[in-house]
Amino acid sequence: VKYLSKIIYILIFLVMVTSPYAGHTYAEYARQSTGEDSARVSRFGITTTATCNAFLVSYMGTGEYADETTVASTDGAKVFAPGTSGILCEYHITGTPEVRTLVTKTATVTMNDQWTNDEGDFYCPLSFTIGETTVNGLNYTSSAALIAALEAEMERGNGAYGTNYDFANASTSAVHNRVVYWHWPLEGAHGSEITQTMENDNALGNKAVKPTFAVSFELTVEQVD
Amino acid sequence: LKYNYLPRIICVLLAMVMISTIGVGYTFSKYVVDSRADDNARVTKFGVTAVIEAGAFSDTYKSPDGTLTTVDSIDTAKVLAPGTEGTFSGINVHGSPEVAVKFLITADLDLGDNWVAGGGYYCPITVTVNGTDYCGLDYASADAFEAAVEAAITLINDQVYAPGTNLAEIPGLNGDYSWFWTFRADGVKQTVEKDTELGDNAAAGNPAELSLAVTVKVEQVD
Repeated sequence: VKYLSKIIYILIFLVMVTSPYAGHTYAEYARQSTGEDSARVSRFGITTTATCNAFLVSYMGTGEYADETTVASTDGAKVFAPGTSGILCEYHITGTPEVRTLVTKTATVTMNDQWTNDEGDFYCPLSFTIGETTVNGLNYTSSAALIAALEAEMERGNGAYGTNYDFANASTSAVHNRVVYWHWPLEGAHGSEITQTMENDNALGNKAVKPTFAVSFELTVEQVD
Repeated sequence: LKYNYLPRIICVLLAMVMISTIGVGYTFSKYVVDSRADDNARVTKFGVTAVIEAGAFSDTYKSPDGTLTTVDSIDTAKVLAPGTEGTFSGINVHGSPEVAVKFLITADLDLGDNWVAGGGYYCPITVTVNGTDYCGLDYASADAFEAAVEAAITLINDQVYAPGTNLAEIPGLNGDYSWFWTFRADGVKQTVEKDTELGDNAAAGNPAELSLAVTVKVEQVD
């Protein structure tokens, strides 16, 4: 026991003496700093569809004539006639992008100059329904006015939308997900206030150069810087 | 019980002596010609500060005029999009140490595997390091782009700077790293279609990601 105590004292002394040198050997000036950051690409995920397959070369009847072809083009051209109807255009936007977006709908409607009755007055019995809105050709006195009204309604909702705008949400999608219907009613189907007459309808059908109607629709959703 | 501790204490002390004696040996084991004179000294100045701050990316971005929020992450994740830019506050080292120093800089740019559009690698991000632009579209792969940026950041590694050097004035050391994603720069390399594909992939749950980690260590040269 006596020797052990001495050995311990000697070892403690040696540790005390040598430790500063060991410390001196390993110590040095040093300073370190680290920075880090990361991100992912923002979501876009917009889908758009737009179709305008408005007219046909033949139409089936309704009611008791539902199984019969009641209108048929003789030359393969698409036609319309009293009592026919269809979908003029249909367009949809879905998605919730994380970026601000600009919606641009461009409707282009063209009508030739044959939409006149026997008196030479503008006469278009085509009626268009977009949601709760109806654009009735009989309410207009010129093709330019009708075209402007129809194009404006089809393009409703153009403009910029904020980030994370849900285009498909039921409360916001009314102007972004629409079906545009067209209809040429038979005489009287428009209602009492409408001045549609069989004579005027016949005038359109009897023209040597038939009245024409064409539509195109372009839909773009793009990021805004 | 008293005697059971003693061998252990002795073993511990022996081990400490062996360890510290190495230092003594290293310090003293050399040829020595001794002469003696008196002198005194103070500890040399180090006084180096090395700071790197993150903050390169954000969960929202404003329009160029600052009036509108044009990008806003739906889940508060940091994002990047065409037309956005940011600054990664790069290495910021100051001081004039009285010892020779060198820098050990590590940079890790990680792009992941989702920078893919048009059927191949596509990264329209440009990283600017010390005034030089490194655009991801100039490289054939994410690995090559990562390597170029990392090499630029670590350019001065292993260079030794003499005592008294003002570290703030070392060319290529201090400075921010910035990045940008050009907005609608339709060209041969960057296209709206491919940019949009990256955004659609993100919406589908496969976002391209980018991270940059930089570490700087300033240490005395013995």
